[in-house]
Amino acid sequence: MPRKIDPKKEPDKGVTRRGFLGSVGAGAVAAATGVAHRAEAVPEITEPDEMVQVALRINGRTHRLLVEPRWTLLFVLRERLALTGTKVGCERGECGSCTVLIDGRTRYACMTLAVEAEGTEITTVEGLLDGEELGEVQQAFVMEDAFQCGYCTSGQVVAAEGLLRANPSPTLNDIRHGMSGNLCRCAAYVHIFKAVDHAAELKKGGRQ
Amino acid sequence: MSMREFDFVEPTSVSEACALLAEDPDGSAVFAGGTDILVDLKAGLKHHQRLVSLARIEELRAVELTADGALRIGATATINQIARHQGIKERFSGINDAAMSLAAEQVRNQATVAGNLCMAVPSADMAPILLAHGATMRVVSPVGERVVPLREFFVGPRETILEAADVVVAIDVPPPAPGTGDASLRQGGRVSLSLPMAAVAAVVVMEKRICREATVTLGAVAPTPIMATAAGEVVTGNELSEDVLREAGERAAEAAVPIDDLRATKEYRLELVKVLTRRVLQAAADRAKG
Repeated sequence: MPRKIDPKKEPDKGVTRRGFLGSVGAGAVAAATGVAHRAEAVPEITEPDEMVQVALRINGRTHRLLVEPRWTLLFVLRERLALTGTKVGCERGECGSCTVLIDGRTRYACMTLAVEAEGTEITTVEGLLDGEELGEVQQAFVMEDAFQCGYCTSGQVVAAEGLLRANPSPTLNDIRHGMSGNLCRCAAYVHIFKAVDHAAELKKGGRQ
Repeated sequence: MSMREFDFVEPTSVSEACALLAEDPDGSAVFAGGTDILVDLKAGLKHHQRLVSLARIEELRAVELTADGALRIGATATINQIARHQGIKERFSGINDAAMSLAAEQVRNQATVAGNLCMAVPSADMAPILLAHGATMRVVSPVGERVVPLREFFVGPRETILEAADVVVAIDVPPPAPGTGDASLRQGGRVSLSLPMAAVAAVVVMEKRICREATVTLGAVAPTPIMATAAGEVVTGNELSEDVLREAGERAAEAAVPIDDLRATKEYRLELVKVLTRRVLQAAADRAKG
């Protein structure tokens, strides 16, 4: 569970960290200078919004960082960790361009809070590389020309990876059903389905 | 980021969750899969000071089929936990149908069955079949635990009997009688990632070719998921002939009170109810094991 750094408390319910530090600081200043503290003389300090510390395990590496509870995993991946392979699309769980794997299962990163993802294994499209080489699914997408503009591709690739981990030998129907959470505005669907099928064979060491 | 600030708490027990909700009943909301609530928060349609996540409460994750054939779905069991459960596929095929039809893979990996019911949208995919099976909700509040039949759970669109500090901990489906078959069918604009224009579920108990009991329920054609009691009565005691099925469809349509909206017209929905009722009753009967 994420460790609360700065629990939000109403002033009447207890001492907030912010208030506590403020009073200690003022006391220390007063003690050091011997001058009575005057609130109007001290510049205001604006702290960042309530932050919690999380440890996110992404592509095999642990990242410790402060996040706001309202930050989505998508936001944290892109804006805090510069993992921009995960794309921003609809931001409402309908297009699939932000698809990541969480514990091996596909999820929309735009519909997942970063705080929720603590304690899970997160895999993004960057994590599907095989060393410096493209992974099987990525290779298959290139070989089958499974995109036009390419914007949805990283989401498609991760969705395909999730599908093949759950079902290494999918039928065309399984592929259509499993990939249906990813929209392609260029409508490269036929090639995408072929690529998933091709990737299944590559993963089994078959067709090149 | 379009969401306003909120506090996210992750209690590890149900009693802790209830206590957190009770501290600020109006400002708090229960958070499970998040696939509905985050959409609303992002759109600014809702704001909650505090989200109380159920995700770290171990005991709520389980899906259990008991020896007597009953099914218990924990509050944070995902749609895909149901869709991939071999026992459910065999013994509650209709529940599998509904789970497979919901949204898309990514959402099914995240969204919960209980959340689908608690959000109480009229088109909730899991509602008709669970209603037809006579499911009950186990609800815990700071003052105790109670059992609410699903048929008394929905009040209106996005409205249930739940009070602010209530936590649904499980959905219980009673063991089906011998000879039971079930099915759930829906028609959306497309197969995936669409809400149904109409949905019909049926649970039938067959004795050879005669239907001994039938329950038909409807989704997306009334302010809440509803029972189409008269449709079940038409079928009961009869063989599922073309005429009987047609009559059941008519009765089901009489129970429906659909609206026109961006997905379909009222008239089209009524036609769908007739057709889907015939098909779903036949499918349920075909699955019944005597």
